[in-house]
Amino acid sequence: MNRTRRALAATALAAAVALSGCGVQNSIVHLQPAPTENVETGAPLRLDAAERIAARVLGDVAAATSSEERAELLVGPALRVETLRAGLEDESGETAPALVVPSPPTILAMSEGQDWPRAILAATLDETTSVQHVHVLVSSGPTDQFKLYATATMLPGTSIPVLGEVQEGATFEAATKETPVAASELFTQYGLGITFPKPAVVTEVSIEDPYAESLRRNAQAQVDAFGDLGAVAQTHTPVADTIVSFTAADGSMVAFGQMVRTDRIALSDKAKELNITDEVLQKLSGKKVVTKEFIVESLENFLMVSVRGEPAQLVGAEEIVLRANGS
Amino acid sequence: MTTILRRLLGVVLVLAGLAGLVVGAWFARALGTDGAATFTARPPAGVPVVVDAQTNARTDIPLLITARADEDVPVTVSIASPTDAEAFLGDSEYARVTGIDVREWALTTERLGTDDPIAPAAADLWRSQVTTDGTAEIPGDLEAAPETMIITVPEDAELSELAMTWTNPAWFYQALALAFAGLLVALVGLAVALKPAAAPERGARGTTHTRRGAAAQPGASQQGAADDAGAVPTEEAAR
Repeated sequence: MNRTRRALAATALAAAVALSGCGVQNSIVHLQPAPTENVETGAPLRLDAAERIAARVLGDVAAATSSEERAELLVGPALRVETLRAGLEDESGETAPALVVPSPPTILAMSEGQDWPRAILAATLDETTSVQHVHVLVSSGPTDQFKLYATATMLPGTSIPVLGEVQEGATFEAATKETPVAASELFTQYGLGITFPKPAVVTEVSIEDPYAESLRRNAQAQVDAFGDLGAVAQTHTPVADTIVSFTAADGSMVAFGQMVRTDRIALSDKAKELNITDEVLQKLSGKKVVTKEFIVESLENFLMVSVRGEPAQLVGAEEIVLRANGS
Repeated sequence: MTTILRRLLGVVLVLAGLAGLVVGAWFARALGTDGAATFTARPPAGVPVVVDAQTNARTDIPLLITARADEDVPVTVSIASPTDAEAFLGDSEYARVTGIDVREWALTTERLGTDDPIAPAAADLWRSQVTTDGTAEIPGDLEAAPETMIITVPEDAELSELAMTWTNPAWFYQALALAFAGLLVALVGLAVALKPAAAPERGARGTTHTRRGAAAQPGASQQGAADDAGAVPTEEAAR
């Protein structure tokens, strides 16, 4: 009986030691499962990393000494603008305005989630002119560095709504020619709302902004100047695949898009001719005098904001002459 | 039979104690008074070295990863989320740290991917990216975990060593405790094994006498009778 007891005790002790071995080892090294990653929410980059990237990209663009160098750092609408500017520099001899990049730029928003394309919305302030620029930077894949997708110049007295915590991320949407996004309609509405001379009544966007007022004033001045010698018309057409938007959880949105503005002056029978005095327009159209009509197309960079429940508002605008022709 | 069992138990205790003593002393010597467990490897040349959450975030013990190369070689440490790192590396060739070999104090690695190795400079998905000459040190950051660390050097250079050091001063004292416990168990085992067999007591003799006396009585077995044949009287044997 004693022997049996001893054998049982020894077996129990050996089993206890053997079974507790793993537990003892785990408690000594504090072994735990590897933490899991939440890939569904939040911005893909830390704020400091986004600031570093934005400073690098914008700094490189500012430091580029040739159009070719800049083109390497740009994509989409920004590249289109650069190409146009390079062409106009050749025509007029004027150089593109230098981009002033404070260090670090202010990050306004980042796209959420781990998918690509990823985007950063950043702002820079030129302290000498107090002009604020808003930039969209986009990375199209894991092995593609961020490039400057768009830059818009803020209108005086405007501001960007807070898009929540940057680290929480915002919904980033980019339209294609075939697939518009929610912001695409805003640009279409805005274009219709500032059409001259017969603007459409629009409700989703406000057309009371300095840019729209300036357009209306200038167009009216031309109408007054021409009198019955000609008719002035102005339309705005969105470039579908340039529109991108950042939308916060509360519905606030910042959207960038390009539109083509077409200014058409049709001379009446009473007009003999129209002299083209602008040198750039002369070179673009190849004409100094037209007798029937003159059409100028300009590329417009627009930045629009929308606060939930209120009509969208234009807060950034910049234009560059695209082409001109006449007869 | 009891004596044999006792000695067997003593031998087992001695062996177990010696094992504890040796293992404890070995750990104490290797860990040092800081309790620093350092595992090293010489990574293969020409490919990035990847340390992911399966090794850098499995314990809350403070971790320091050290990558060494020649003094003038820039060592770049790029840190990304696991999914970003996986998307970035894709099918490119790289070496991944898979675990540790305690007996050798070594890091175990595996080589993955078939395409040409890729340079981290080609991406903008890093949570942080630091380049230093010669040696790069990366503290483990459990708060930011899970993270994947990708360590690279220029194409014409190579890492001479990758080390992962977990430091817990308690480990040294635990190793010492194991060694002392082992020593104690071994000594107890020795005492148990070498303890001389106990001399039969008088009461016991009486019992023997009684039993032998009983065996000599009529009706006892043949074997008992045979044993008793020629035996000296019990009282005399006791004297």
